[in-house]
Amino acid sequence: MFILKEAFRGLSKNKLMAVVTFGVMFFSLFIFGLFLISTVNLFLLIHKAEEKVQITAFLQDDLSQDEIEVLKRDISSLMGVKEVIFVSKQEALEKFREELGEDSELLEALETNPLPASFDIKLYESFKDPDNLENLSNKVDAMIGIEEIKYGEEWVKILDRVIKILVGVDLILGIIISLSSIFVVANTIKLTVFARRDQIEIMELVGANNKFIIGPFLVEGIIEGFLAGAVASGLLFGIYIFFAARLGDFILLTRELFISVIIFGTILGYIGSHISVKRYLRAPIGAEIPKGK
Amino acid sequence: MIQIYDTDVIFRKEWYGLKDINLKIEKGEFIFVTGPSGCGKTTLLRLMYMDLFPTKGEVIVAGFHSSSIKRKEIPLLRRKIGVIFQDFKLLQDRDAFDNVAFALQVTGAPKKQIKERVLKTLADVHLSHKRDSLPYHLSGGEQQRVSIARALVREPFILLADEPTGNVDPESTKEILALLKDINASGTAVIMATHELALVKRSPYRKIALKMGEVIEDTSDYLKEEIFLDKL
Repeated sequence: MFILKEAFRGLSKNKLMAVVTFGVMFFSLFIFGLFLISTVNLFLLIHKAEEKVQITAFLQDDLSQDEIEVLKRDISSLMGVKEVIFVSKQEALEKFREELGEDSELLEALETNPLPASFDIKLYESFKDPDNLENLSNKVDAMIGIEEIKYGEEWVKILDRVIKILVGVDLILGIIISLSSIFVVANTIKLTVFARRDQIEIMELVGANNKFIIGPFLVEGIIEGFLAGAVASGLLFGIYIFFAARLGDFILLTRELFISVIIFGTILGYIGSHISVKRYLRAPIGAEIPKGK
Repeated sequence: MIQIYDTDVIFRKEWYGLKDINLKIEKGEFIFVTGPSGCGKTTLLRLMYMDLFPTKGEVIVAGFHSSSIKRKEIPLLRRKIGVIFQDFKLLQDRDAFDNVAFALQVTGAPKKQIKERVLKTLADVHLSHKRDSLPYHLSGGEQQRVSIARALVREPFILLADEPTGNVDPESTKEILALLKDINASGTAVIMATHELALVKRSPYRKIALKMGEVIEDTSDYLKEEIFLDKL
């Protein structure tokens, strides 16, 4: 196929420019990859933090088994509640003893179990913001048989703010990195196209349609972007192996992440060459019409 | 075949590239367009291959009207027109054969047909033996012949030549002129812009002289009459 042949000819005859473009793309993609890794880890972290958010409802001491069952059913039926786990007085004491560890002997001094039974109320993700938490807590608190409600209001509010800021910063960074990658890559490709503008001119002269003129440049861009993406993700993988051994399971890398670096590279090459070549296509120049009269 | 009516080309405010041009060019003509540098020779040729549109008036080439041609149709027009330049405009990274073949490849012609026609056209311009040479191994005259071959390989009905002898020695100029005459003899119209008056004076062909964007002489004035009558 002519377009493919021209693309490979273009790459091999303009090795230096091809290498420069490849380098710029590689660097952009490498940064993009680092950004992706941080984002994935950021969301992982947020998820872990949010998992801990729950409402604990302490029960009055004198409830019968039936009353507890009814309460559990009522709470489960509230919107946003994923799961209700009953923690009996005995279990609460066991847990407390575990948490105290060596100091658990202190408990031996107690004659009765001072800890109340409780429900651990797990919520769906979208109900973990401060407003919904407060709302739900109030509803549970109003039920007969509930002694007290706890969900770490202050902590939840801070967590919510931090998450919003982090996600916002991450989003802005992502946009900046993507746009600047496209900008830098498009400009680099523009240089390579500029070096071959005579070829474009000749093609237009001999009556090539746009498909034939743009095609080879697009294919070149896609090939370079794909290769740059592959190398960048290879290097990222190497770095991951290096750090994973030292940082434990904190850094999470998935195959999708490497694939998205390669895909982004390919798209980058495509968009970059598209923008650049279009600029050199000569629209037939209409002579300028004098303004005014 | 080519008709130009009441055409002005204005580049910048009040600066006329061409002014009030009326021309009619028939099948198989050989025409010299002459005049000093900057008189509008190149502009006139650009109108003909629609690299430029008139500010006022209308240019009709092979049935395409400058006022109504679509962007997509321009390649189709160009395929019917051969254009050669003073600076040859050859691709430096490929040999003579590939340069000529290029004009067919970009239109998606089948490989076998490309080979046959390129070899034949190279033979027509007497360059069969140099088909594997890269442009910088060829003399100016030879390079121009390659570019003529590229223009001819698609059998255009007209060949536009913008100062084709501007960059070659007198010997090659003769060769190129002889070649253009052969091409014309086989039925292709040739329009050649040149400022070498000596070349033109000796020839019996139609001459269009331009000065400051206006036609000051057209040796076939009867054609002008015809245009005038056409419009009535």
